[in-house]
Amino acid sequence: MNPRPEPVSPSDAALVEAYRAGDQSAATLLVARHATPLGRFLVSSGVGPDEAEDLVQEALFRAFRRIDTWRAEASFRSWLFTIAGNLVKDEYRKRRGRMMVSIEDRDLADHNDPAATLDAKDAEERLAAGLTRLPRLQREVFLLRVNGGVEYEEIAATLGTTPGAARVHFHHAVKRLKELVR
Amino acid sequence: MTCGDLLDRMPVVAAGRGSWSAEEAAHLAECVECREDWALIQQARTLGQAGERVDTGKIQSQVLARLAAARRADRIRRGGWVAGLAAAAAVALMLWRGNIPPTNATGPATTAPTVENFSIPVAELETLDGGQMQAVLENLEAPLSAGGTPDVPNFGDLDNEQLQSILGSMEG
Repeated sequence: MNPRPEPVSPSDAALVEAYRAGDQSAATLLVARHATPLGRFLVSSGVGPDEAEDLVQEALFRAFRRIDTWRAEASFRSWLFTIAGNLVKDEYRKRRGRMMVSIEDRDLADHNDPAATLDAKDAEERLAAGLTRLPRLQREVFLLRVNGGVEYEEIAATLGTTPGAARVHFHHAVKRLKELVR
Repeated sequence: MTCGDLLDRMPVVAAGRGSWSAEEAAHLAECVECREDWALIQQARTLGQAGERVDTGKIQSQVLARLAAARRADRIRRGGWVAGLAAAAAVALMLWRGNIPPTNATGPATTAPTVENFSIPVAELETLDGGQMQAVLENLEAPLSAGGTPDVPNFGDLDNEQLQSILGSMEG
């Protein structure tokens, strides 16, 4: 007897189509699928964990309000990340350049060694600060690649560049961050 | 394999969606630059972990509630437009048909002036005594003066040419 096949979860594109056709439950599934990666992306972008939830909600709300503008050329997730990135930029502008980094609230590795904990905390602070100092395109490519695991082709489609350029931005970002973190 | 190739693979391995091949693992063990890159990628992923604490259930309900409210607002806005257009169309139709209702709907209906009910206000006759009343009547019965009212020109003495000239000036 063959084992029962695993139920195939609908693709993002299928869920978006269903939502456009009036199926509200499709939105629930999309939120469940993307809220956590979106939170991760936002916190990596310099948003405090306490504010991340509000921004995740805002990004998803905005995405559903303009869902007709999503073309399946880029993945739904990277499109969401772009909306979230714009929100971060707006917040950054509102705060006149001060980022929302709140290192104290971050989850740090559980070290028994206080010195190691301090070192890790210090390194995280420098990395978070370094991310805010990267040019926007470099930062977005880096965060999409590292947090979203997004391929260069998709990043290129999302950010309006070429896969080759996205790769160069990623490599530059890593090099620059290493210098800033040292 | 180059350091660049390995860097491209790092996010995939860091996310747990792949593992190092033997060649990659050997390169990583020997290359200081790549080990630094790898440490940075892992650290960047750790940085985002706090973002995983978001309450997905709460976000779901809040997003759906906001979307429902926005849809309601959209419907009301659209309804307002439709009502406004309908009212404008009704006004346009009435104007076109020349059938504008009185502006004061609660007041008495006004009637258009007609020959039958047209009247000129006159003095209160009830207050006049008999002699005065007689005088008024005689005055009314008396023929108009031969010359007519002073402000009306008497054209009787004008010849045809003069009359034609007056008519021409009246017509411009």
